Amino acid sequence: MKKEEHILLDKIGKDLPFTIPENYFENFTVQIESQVSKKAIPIRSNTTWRLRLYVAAIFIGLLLIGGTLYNVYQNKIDNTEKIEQYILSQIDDATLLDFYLEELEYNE
Amino acid sequence: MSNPENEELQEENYSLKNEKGFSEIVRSYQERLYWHIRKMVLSHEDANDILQNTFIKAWNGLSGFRGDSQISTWLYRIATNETLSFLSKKRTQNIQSFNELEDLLLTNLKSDNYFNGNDAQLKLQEAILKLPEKQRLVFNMKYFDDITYEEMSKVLSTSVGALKASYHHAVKKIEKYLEE
Repeated sequence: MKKEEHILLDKIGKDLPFTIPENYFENFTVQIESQVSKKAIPIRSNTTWRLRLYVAAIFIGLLLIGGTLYNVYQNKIDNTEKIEQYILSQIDDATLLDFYLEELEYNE
Repeated sequence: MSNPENEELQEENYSLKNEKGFSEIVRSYQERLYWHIRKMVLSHEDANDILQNTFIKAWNGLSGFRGDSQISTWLYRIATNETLSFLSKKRTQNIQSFNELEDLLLTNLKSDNYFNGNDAQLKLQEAILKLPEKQRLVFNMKYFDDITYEEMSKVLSTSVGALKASYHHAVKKIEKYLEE
């Protein structure tokens, strides 16, 4: 890189020909601090607690819904099992055996 | 661009969103960012405005800063974008008065109280102004700040190869202009 810059470096160097007002950076920091403190978002504990309550309420709601759905599903399964048992109870053993044997032959 | 001590300062469970933490960031980076901006806009007043906007944007964006880049890279990116937006706006505002924004910048520079360069340095600034904006950025960051291409790549979202080519080309153009 130095090779390609040699004309620039020989003739001019890397010093910047710019100046700044005295104490500029010290004053700048103070300026930004005052601007930022105006814009600072105050911490409101009420907001935090309210948010926590909402989250808790949603969680409880989800649990209740989940529980309800689970019960409904369980009932369905129970009912299904009961129906199966009832149907099977109406068929004699011989008919049931024929059915299974046919299934076996079909699947071979 | 990156300063290991200052990066540690920020990485150490620092609550950046508090004013004290942010003040540290301002103190650590204001000079580097100021000169980065100033080299592009040339005027101290404009650089000051842009630097303020940069830090205000940084303050407002702190909660969104996920730490997936270094703070220095993040700040340089904001400063660069603010600078380019400023120049773009100025170009639109001056399109009837001057053919080129760069003519305006150069004219202002010659009469600027905060410019103390000699003729050669003035000519160099003139030559740099002839470059396209992105190339000016690359040249300034490499020639004056000696920022590595890898770091520059993160700031400008451009490949290292493209940056090297851009810089090489910029140097050639500037040297040709200086020899005229």
